[in-house]
Amino acid sequence: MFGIGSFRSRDCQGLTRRSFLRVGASLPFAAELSASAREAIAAEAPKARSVMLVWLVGAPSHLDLFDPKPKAPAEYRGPFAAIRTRTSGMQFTELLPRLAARSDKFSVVRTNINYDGGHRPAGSIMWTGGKARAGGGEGGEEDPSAYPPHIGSVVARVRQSGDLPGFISLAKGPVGDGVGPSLGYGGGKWGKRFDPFMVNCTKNGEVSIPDLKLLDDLTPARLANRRELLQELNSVRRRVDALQDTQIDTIYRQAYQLLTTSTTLKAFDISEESQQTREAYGRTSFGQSALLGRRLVEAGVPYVQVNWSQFAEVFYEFSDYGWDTHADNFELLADWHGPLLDQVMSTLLDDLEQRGLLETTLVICMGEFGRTPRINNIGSRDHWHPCYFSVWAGGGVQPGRAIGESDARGEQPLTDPITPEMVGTTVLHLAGVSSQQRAQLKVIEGGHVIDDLL
Amino acid sequence: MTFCRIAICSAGIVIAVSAGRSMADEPVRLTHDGAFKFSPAFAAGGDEILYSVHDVPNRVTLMRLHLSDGHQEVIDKTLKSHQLDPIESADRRFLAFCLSSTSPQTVLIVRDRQEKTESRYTPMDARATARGPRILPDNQRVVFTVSQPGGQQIASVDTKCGDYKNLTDSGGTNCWPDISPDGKQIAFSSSRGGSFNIYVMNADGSDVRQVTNEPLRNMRPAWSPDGQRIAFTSVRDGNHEIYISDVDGTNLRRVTNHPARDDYAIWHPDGKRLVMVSQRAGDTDLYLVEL
Repeated sequence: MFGIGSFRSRDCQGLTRRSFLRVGASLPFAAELSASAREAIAAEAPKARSVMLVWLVGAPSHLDLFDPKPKAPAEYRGPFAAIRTRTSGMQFTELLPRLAARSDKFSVVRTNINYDGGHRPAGSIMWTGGKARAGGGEGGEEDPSAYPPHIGSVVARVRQSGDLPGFISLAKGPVGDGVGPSLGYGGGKWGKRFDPFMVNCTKNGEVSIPDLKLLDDLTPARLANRRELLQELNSVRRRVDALQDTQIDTIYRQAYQLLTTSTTLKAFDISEESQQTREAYGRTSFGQSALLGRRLVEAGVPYVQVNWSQFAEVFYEFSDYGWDTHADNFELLADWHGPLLDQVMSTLLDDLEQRGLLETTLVICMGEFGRTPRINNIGSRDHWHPCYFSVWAGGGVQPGRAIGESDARGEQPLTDPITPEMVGTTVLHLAGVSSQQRAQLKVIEGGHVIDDLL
Repeated sequence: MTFCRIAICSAGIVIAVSAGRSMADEPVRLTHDGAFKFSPAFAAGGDEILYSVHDVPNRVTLMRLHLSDGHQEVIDKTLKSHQLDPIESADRRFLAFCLSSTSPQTVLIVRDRQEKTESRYTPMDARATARGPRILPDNQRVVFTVSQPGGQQIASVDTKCGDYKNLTDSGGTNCWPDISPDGKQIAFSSSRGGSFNIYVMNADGSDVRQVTNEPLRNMRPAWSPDGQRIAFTSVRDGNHEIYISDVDGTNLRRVTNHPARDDYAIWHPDGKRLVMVSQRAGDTDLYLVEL
């Protein structure tokens, strides 16, 4: 099911006029650059044709998942036992038995650091590959245009993606916490045209584009008449002042092409998957989003961000069971977070491998930071950004490695810390964005790759 | 044999499904919506099951399954925040559950249908949670888990949510309490020994005894109606399976053996069957298991 606006249609004729308007605004990449400009920054042949960032918003505990400390004192260790993996010398906790059995498919970095302990700034730092420089973005800056572009925006700007958007983020809305989204979510100083194309996927696999509720009178039946559709779009274009863009014709053509071309629409239609595959990912929004992400990668989308939830928090009235487990960490991880992560990530890796996609798809799974190694005074864990984990697979990454070592309590890196700049540089390198191109675009200048992963 | 089972069964849908099956030990799927469910509890003498479900992306909702016709209904359509861990007293006077609030905490709610009142216990710490309530058979107190300064403990309040008492005071995490049918003992899980294991204590928190001693998780104990056995989830083989043992840990029996997750076992009041949450068909649903 693919739904846009306030109704759904299998053949994607359920479009509202606002849908086209908003989708047009979300499809900047091919339209933004002239042919000569594209040629000038043409990407190198990438090891990773696509990148999938599996984003665990809210910050999962590194000690309770990928970096257990079974010999640490009880006030650090937590209740989850360490189990062996297929990788010599690497243990996970008992919450991840399936991933432990597949550790030869991926590598784990155990010395990631972030520069901030707040969800919103830390998310922006990881997504953009470092602290915001001149122009703000640090400490309370509320203007997204002050931020560097998201790595996904960079990849999408450089890479061609055919009829599909170059950067798709799968969530109900911009990802962040209860205060608001992490403002490094998109194009930043490059403009909203480089924001991700947001797509929501429900637990039943129903796909929709958020915030498309305007112009509901444009029904599927009316959209069946393409001449009428074009007239409608022209009418909308004349009426709307919000999009002052000289490339608007191109944008509309892109939007029209995306939403009326059956080959591109098929990428969004999870119902084409077998029941067995859908069930393997599990009937959750996160699981079905991961499956949709795989379909988008298969269709050639260069950068897909699969979000665990929209909000970091677990239990606020508005929140949707993110990883921000200040209380009830161990019960929640045993009930929901641990088993779900283990199921979805192991299924995703198996699925990509069986389809021959893992070799050309870089998969990164991480959050904005880790959680306090020392258990807090209410028996849970708080924010911890000096040391945490990330999981890397496919797309040029050497699997079966534990990269870096944290100290006996998981508080600090014992080996060189892996910085947000190194994460961003490594992703861009594997996605075929050269250092020269990064310099031209003025993104993560001076960063270097995580050599041990390659 | 099947006919006899039909005759004594109180749940119509179970009767219908059981009558058509030749393998009594194969779990019977009771729901088919596939949404992630947890914390089931029998109500109405075994005719209904209450549970929590990840219903819509922004909410966990309390549901009631009527076993007579398979109808599922939202328990309270007015609630807009996360609702967790429902339980009713045997006489249906009290409904207890946990509810998220305007801070990242959950509070305990106890509704008295007879007096038409609602009481609330709010943990001291603004981030703390109350979870897993159980109502004593005499309807005098509610036992639950609360995270508080000093750790996560088992506690109890009266049905007006007053007269708070700590029942455990140990290191580690104490959670998933269940009360014996006579109200004299509480089974729970605790990580006080390093990993989650099953323990039993008197209802006042005294005389704690360890039931399981495994390095991997043993969780969610459930007393049998005759008070002699405990069903629980164990991942001792790396996968979530349901086990039963005597209250002292002897006579261990593995009930399920499936590569998918089997979890959250509760006893049917007849003591001959369990209901569990399982992902054995891919989705997450309630299943009936004949013992």
